[in-house]
Amino acid sequence: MKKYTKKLLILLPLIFISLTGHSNDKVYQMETLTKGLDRPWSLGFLPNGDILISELTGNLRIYNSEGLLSEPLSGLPKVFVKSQGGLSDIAIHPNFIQNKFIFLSFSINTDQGKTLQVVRAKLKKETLIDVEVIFTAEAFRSTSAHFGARLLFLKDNTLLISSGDGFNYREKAQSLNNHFGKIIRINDDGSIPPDNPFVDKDGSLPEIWTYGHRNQQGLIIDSDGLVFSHEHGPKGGDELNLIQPGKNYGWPSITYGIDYNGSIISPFKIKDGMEQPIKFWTPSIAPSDMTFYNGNLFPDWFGSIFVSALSPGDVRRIVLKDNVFVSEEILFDEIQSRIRSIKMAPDGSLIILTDDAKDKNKSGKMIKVTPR
Amino acid sequence: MLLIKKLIGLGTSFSLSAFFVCIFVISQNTLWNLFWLITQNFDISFLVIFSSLIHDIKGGSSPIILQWGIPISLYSVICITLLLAFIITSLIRIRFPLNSKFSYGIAGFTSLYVMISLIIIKYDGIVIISSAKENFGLFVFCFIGFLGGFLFDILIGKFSLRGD
Repeated sequence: MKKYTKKLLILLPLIFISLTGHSNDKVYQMETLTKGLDRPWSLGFLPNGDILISELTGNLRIYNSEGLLSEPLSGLPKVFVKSQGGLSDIAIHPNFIQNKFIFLSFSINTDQGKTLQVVRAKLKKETLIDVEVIFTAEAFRSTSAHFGARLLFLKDNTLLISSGDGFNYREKAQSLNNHFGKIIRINDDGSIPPDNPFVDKDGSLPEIWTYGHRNQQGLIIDSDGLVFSHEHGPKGGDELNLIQPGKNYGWPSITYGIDYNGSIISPFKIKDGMEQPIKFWTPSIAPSDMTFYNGNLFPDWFGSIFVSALSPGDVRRIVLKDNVFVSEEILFDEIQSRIRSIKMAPDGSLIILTDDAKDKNKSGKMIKVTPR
Repeated sequence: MLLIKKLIGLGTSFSLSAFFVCIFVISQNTLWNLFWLITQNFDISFLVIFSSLIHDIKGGSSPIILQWGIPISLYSVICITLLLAFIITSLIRIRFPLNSKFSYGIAGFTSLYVMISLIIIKYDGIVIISSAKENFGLFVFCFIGFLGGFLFDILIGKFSLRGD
């Protein structure tokens, strides 16, 4: 008995050291800023430190710098909420301090069908005023899925909008006469930039910047001005792409995924004139958002791309070198929830939104990640 | 003994007709996808068709729906649909002596239509069998069900289950 007690006394501290040593490996800590969010979808940082949060169910809220979550803002347009449709992304105008413009993407239901719309509005305290529709996608569908709906301002203040393929309409992603499966580029007033790639092409919609996409929910710009997008594949074949104007990203002609019924969508993965992804995921991770990290809080993560994933629910830190995939690290899986969005805050911390697709109890959270 | 023989015959008839419907539904889907690729200037060789068909016939057993936590494949959905349709038809035929070939055929046609409609309702308009997205494809899809019912009746006759 004495012999075992001695052994145990030696082993216990070793176990303790190894356990605590493992937890100390983490370079970050997490703090839940707010909970009770109703299917949060995206967020935007205002210059005064407030955070705008969109909820798919049609509400926009402000989380202020004192840690208080507002009631839903008033003045929002009518949003169609069903399945994947609802209030989606927020973009803050680069000159917000002067013009107070914010941009919202959401789904609408019209006589022609459901589609994606983008509005520009001015934010006045907790109200939206001067709401103006600046884009309605020519992607009317009977389904309530694959709206895309991600927004991104480029350095020239033009706005990129991802428009998904509507699920049943995937073949239309290869035609330039509609907005299914496209990335759109417009000016901040909805007009069309004259240098868009298909402006002068007959039979093409001039807003189109790139085509051949499925359901793109991640859109970022890096320090060099390069644009990256990720999109949900079907069963497998989620993609991370370098986005260049005028390019065809192949869906559904080429894909690394298969259909939900187990059949091949296309037996081809490569074709001349169609872009290859930087990385693809099979099985799917269901990429939901993305951020480029160029903050100061995590020097080791500088230059990484963070991809939030719904399935199984984690964040992938992607390292690229010369736009070629180098490595992937799985982070924040201890949250044990679908990760709906990830953004780098102006202070260099990472802000994460979680949701639950079948959420009946408003269990969405906003989590801040800072160095330990 | 006769009852066991009848049951085996009935089971075999149903299995073969359901197998026929499953294979042809999958093949229609495969060929529909490949035909669209031809319109996009892809070179579709016989080998591509053959390997795609083999892949898709295998793939049909992968789960498409999670119902009450149970993964269900397309083949299972088709088999359950046809089974219900043929049981209902046989019950109706006890009361109304309809032409057996056409009644089972119509049961097969209608049941596949109802099946795809219910899936569309469940998934907010999403059609998970791409070949059934358009009217002509949907008609062919349901017509395969009709042929399945027709075959079921022929097989019942072959196994001498009728009139005993």
